Amino acid sequence: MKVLSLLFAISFLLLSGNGYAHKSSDSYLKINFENNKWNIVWDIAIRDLQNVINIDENADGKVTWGEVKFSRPFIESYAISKLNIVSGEDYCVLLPSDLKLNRHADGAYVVLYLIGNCSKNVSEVDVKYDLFFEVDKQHRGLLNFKTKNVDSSIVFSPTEPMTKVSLVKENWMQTFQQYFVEGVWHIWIGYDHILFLLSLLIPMVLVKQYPVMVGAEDFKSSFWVVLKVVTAFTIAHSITLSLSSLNLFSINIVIAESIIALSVALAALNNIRPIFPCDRWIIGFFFGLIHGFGFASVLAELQLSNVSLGLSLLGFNAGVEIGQILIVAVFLPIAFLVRNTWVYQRLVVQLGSFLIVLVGTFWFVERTF
Amino acid sequence: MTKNKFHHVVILLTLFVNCFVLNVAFSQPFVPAADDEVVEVLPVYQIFRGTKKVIKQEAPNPKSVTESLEVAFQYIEIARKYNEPRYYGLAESVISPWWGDESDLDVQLIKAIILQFNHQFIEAKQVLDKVLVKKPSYQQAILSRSSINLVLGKYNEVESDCKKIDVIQQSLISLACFAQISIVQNDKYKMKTLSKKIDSILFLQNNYNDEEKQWVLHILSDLKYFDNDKKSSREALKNALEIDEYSLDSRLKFADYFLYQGEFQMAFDLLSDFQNHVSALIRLVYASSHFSSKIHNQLLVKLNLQVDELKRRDIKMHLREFAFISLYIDKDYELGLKYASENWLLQKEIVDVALYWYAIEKNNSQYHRAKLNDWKSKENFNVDLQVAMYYESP
Repeated sequence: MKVLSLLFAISFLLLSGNGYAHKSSDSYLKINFENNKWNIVWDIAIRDLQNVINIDENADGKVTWGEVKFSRPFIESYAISKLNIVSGEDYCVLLPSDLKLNRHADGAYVVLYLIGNCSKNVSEVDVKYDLFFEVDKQHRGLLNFKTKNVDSSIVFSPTEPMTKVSLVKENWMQTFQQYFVEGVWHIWIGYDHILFLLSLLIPMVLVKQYPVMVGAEDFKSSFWVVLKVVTAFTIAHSITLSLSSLNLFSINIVIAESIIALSVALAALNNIRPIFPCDRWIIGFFFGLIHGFGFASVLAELQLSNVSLGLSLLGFNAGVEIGQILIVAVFLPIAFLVRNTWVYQRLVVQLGSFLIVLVGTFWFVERTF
Repeated sequence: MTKNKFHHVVILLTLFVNCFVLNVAFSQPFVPAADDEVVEVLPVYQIFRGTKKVIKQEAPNPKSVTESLEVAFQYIEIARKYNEPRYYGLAESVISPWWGDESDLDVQLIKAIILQFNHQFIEAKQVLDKVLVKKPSYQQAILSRSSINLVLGKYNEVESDCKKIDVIQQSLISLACFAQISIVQNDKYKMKTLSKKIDSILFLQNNYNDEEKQWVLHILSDLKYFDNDKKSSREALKNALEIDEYSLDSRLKFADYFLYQGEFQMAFDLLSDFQNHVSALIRLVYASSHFSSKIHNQLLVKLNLQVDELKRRDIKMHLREFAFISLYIDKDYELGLKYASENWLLQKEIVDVALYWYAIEKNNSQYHRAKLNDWKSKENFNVDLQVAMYYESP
């Protein structure tokens, strides 16, 4: 019954939306590995520690420096039991060396200084963290791991309490892989990029035999034309993606998105009634420059760190290219097989392009006005 | 050097010195001079200052769901009322053994509240939908869902929830629920009628507890404010704050009122003791920019530190604050629009819509304007956003 009465008491609160901004429990862990020495600095909120250790001895709600010093052995042994640096079977021995205080946004934190004794010549370690997880599921451990070659940031949570860190050099493979997947994913879910590419590719299995278009004679010639267009598109968007990501040059994303939509409509319109008096690779290159700004805005949302910027950029770009190649690899053989059919030449080329024009125009209007 | 240039150099030097001093003060570890120096005041005692009430601090029996629920609800009450988000984490831990138990509707209600706190609004709503299939008359779940629907901008669904509450028990709570719809739809007739009803119930009936009254007074203040009765709006906020002067929620609401009116010193004075809360700090920085560049610069350094810490953890949960900072403090309108539009996709309370609109006006973005207008006409959102905006109009 007590629960029910409490339920009633809080019922009004449930209506108050999601409230104002808030800062949950975090600890700040810096691990520094240099010259085979492990130095750890760990900021832990006093108010969080109070949930597991009774620092406020006299229970007056005010924690004094004397009370912190008195609780020091308990704080240190609790914290050390919640952090493990492991290499293979070997656990590093963590020893406390000093204790200070620091002020953070939400109050006072004790600063624990630890020294790690680990096996020599370690190339990789697992860092396991479970501070406060038993009492606070919203707690996060914000790790900054630094070595001569590595500077990485990791967030520990109850669902992700462990990370593997390479000490030799930056875990570039992991970073590259992560952004590579983002790149592939973006091109696959970026319908505007796909439609633009398809608009350019649709007529490439056909050749002009005045006054009509007929199917290309051999696959090789179609392949080379496609390669030329895709390469031009790739080079162009790589240029602007890099310029924008490195903050060297960028344009307003709303303008870029509008031009991307327009590019879809124009490239498709060009299939129905030629409007560009130039080769398709030039169209691909020109609009590719604009599509690059679109890619850059996605990359910006992924919050790159300065340390991994180059690698992330490379990974993302490679992902976009591979994603693109896979689309071409699926489209081209099928298009080549059916190139001589009425369905392809009329329905796909004419009607398909017309539909793409409509979609592109709709996007353009939606994004511009 | 011209006088103007000299003036700029002095400002820059002052800023530099302030940054340096504050940076040292806030980010360098130190050893206090004396053992009796108070280094931290624990929030639970701040909360129950001057009262004998003490929440149960020891861990509940992990085998007893009833006991655990009791503690979890206490934690959530504190988290909501005093903006102490740590208590959501404590509540989640307490009920974690039963987190997946869909047959326990109280546990599921807490789960939904925690998901809502994490800005996982859709997931929270799904949990509540399931709960309400099992127990359609579960008033707390309906109330909770209505608040999520309000955040999501689904006003028809909010109204449907309000009606369900009204059927179960017609009360101040259901009236306040309807009042929120009338505000967003700017239905002046309903606003006036509901305002009168709420006023009279608050005056005549004394069977509502302080927290309920406080919440209703906040809504009453909005009703009056958007009906252009600023004096009564202020009175309602004053009454709400008198119920519990330590309620940060009430202080923020009142401070917003002053900011809307351009009464910056008043807003500042209300929040000056709450600099550790980023919501309060943002308003303090904005308010102080209008009367003291020295205080403004000092607080700005502190705010930047807080923002850095928040960004390290999770950007999604603070988009509203980042939008506000970009638009009103940094005057980076392009970035402000980015944050405000992302925030608006996530949550659509009046303040979120107003921030988005302000960012659109500052950027003159046709694309975003069309998007917002489409949604406004679809959901019948008719708040005069100029009125809902802070002092500086676009």
